[in-house]
Amino acid sequence: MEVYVYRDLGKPFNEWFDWVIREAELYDYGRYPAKGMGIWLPYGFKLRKNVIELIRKLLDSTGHEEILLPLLIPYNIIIKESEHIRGFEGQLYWVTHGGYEQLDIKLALRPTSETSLSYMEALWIKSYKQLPKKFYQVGSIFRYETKATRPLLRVREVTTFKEAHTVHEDFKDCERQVKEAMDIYSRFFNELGVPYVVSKRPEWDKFAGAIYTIAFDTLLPDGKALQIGTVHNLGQNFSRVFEVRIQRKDESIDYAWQTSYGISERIIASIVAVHGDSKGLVLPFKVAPIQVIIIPIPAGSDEEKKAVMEHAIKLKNDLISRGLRAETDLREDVTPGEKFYIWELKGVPLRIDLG
Amino acid sequence: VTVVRRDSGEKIEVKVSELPEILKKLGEEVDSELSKRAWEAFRKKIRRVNDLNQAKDYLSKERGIIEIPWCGRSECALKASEILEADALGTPLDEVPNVGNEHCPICGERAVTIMRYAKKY
Repeated sequence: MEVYVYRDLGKPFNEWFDWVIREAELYDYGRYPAKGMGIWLPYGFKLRKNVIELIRKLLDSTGHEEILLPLLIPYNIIIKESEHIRGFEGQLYWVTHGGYEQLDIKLALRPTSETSLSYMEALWIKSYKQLPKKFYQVGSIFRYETKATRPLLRVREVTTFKEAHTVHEDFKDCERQVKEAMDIYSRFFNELGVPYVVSKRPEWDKFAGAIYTIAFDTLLPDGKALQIGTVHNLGQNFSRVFEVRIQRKDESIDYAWQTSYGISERIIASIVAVHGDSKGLVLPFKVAPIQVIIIPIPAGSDEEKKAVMEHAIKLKNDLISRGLRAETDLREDVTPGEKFYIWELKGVPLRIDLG
Repeated sequence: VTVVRRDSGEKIEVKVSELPEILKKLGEEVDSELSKRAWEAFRKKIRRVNDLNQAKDYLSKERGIIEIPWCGRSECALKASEILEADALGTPLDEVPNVGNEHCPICGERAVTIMRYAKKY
């Protein structure tokens, strides 16, 4: 018998996880004919959107600015920082052709964006007066994972990679930024009720190209650790090779100092895994696509049944106008008991039984 | 009407006129309850162990995160990682762990911090 970290799931965690993301209609995985790539279904997409909005708010309110970089990184750019390319080369997808023509310079699908952004920062940033600069983007990254892929946990297209990249005048300000990033991530995970431990990764497991890496790890119900966030102090490793030079306050010229930090859809997997139970999802109210589900319990004459349905619609509209994400299930070919089962499986935090 | 909480199954009778306020309040309660419950369960699975056999036993049966006194040398953590068949997650940052009289179970030297190990995704 499996020992669960959190709640009794009624079946082994791996089985439960596949079952719940499928049956709750979050994510279709394993059927698309490219390994390690899944589809966010409408209900899952809404959950994802609410989670992204939460991190956007935290980043926007701390002076981060959202951008969007190209998905493709030219060969000569991605190989520039030697440790970085050594760490990632085994996981890169390459675009080698355009139509019938072989490309002069092959293009990598970004595995992360330190190289492409540093290349541009060399053009954008000239002076300490522009610093600190805090960018972030939310998008897909690609990593050719050779280990067994798992939905949301280990995928080849990470669809929800939030990566932040910052630029600073000196090492001290980099250190301050690392602390700010840790604080933002702690607040984010706290809002979602996902527990974590913060560790300085050992030398041999830091991000390829960083001075050091701080990582947030949670535990899934089977007791295995899952990395859900990382913060890297990049020092001048990338700014040197990409020549991101800045004029400092004392008028000397130096390479800029950088940090980067990222989270992915693994946090959504964690919300599912950490709070769920044998009946299915249990979503936090803050990010649930539907916060309140109204189930009409019709009884008596047709007239009375109609009145309950109308009441349900009116109540739903009232609640929506008061800022709640409310929904009602008016289907007549599904019994209230079946509706309870479905909406519990979907993890809606509050249900109203309307008689 | 009856409001039912997904997290606890608890049923609450509420007047329709009071619904919006009460639902918002219940929503906050659900979130703080989910968080509290998850953190309590999580903390129980972080164990401080001095003995490698005991650590190995925990990691194979109940898993979770094991903290072991460490001398600070890479080769000792790599060796422990191999013995435990688990990954070294890293060392704590803020709180300096109290390892006063403890020793690295690999080399026997005085420990300077702890190293965390877990089976990893």
